Amino acid sequence: MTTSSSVHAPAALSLRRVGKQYTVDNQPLPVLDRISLDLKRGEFLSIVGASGCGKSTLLRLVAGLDSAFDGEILIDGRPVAGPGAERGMVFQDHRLFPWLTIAGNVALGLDSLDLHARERDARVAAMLELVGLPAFATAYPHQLSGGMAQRAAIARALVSEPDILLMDEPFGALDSLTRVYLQEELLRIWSQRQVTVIVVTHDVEEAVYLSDTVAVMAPRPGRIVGATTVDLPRPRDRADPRFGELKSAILGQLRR
Amino acid sequence: MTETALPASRASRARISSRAWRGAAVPAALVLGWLAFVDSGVIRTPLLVPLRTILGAPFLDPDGRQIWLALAASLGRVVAGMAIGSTAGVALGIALGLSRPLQRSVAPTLHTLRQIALFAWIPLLTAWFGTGETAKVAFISLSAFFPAFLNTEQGVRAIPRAYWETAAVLKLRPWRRVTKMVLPAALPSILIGLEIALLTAWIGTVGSEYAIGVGRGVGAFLVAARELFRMDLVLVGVVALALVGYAFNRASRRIFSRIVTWRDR
Repeated sequence: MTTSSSVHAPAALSLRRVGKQYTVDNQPLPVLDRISLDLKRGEFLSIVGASGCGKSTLLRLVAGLDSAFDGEILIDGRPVAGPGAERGMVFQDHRLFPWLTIAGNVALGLDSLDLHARERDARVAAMLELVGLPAFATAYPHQLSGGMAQRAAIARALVSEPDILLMDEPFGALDSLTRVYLQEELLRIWSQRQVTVIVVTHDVEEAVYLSDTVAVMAPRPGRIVGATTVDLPRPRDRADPRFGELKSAILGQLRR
Repeated sequence: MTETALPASRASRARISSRAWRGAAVPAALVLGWLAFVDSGVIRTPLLVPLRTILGAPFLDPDGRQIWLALAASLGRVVAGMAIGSTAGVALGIALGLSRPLQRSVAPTLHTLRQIALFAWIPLLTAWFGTGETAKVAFISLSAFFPAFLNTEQGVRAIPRAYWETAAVLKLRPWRRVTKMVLPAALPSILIGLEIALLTAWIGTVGSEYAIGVGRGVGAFLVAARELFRMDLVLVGVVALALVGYAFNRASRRIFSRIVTWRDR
């Protein structure tokens, strides 16, 4: 394992025996138990699990929002220390600032980089083009539909050209038509940008439709109980029998 | 859309103006009562002066004309004190809202000082700064400081965690974090603080002039009028006080309601 990883290109993201516990009434309450994952550069991973299994907690650790955990999270071999521009994050709620325009919100993603105003504006415009919102640059968040706001949030996360995109139930609050549309959009953006993606979701069909690998988490304490490789060619057909087989196999892992 | 919006806004405007008229009923009754009993001569006492004398005094009476200079002096002072006190209050409120260590070390002191009745500061301030302009402006600054500080601090602390996390994930630089996230998020609360600060600064202005008693100002005008037993001039001063306070309140509401234009979600 160690020799092979020194020969091949290192994994873009590695989790090594990551654990986390809260203290409730002076008793340790484990929420994540020795989670190990390796993602190749450009890989699309979904983590599925029931609510409360710790999948969002895990994503927050990778995002650098919480530094109190055991084990190691490595990006290109270096341990994470706080949030970084090489990781973009999309939350379930879009979390756009209501007092800024869409372009202003997206530009915030570039604040940590030293860019000239012209370069910054160009990148924001290109990003809005990529997510299909060029006409809404000067609109305010409350003027957008839920799906459009979430696309703006994806643009904000991607504008700094991160290597890793982390998404916490990104389409969970959207209606099913918008959700399917945004899944296709996400795959298009992913194939254009070649980013490594982790999506946390409770929707198994969404996970199978999107991912190279679907990891299943079980609760109390949160742990990985299975990882399924989805080797169907894209674009995937939800009516394909093999799609259904993978879906029911993963659902089986969830029920156990 | 505009066709339905127009009658609706006209109706609401009509409702607002009818409410404003109802609000004017008590002052109007007071004026009528005053005219009926004092101006007509039914009640004769040196404590109550006919309305026409009060209204005429600022223009016709040589002592009454002093009110304009007094008003100018007071307005100058309230602007200076408000600028100093509210700037310090907002700045300190943001600093304490942002920094936990600063919050822990400074907030208890400030919250204790706030308990001191405002006018109890006057002996101390006159001892430090004398009875001139400095002591008055210091006192007005202090009266504007606390409402601005308290509302700002509370507004910053009430910013949802989701916004802090977003700022962290985006790696916003400290200054950008303040200007693009903290200030706008706390702005509604800060504006309420400034609105209250303006009114307490005005009370503080007249109070300091009244208590310190040296120099020009509406407060000093009131002291002088009372000592001369000129009830007409006392009432001129009171009316001037009330009108300025009312104007401040109306103006700050009108301006501030235009600043926050966005809607949450």
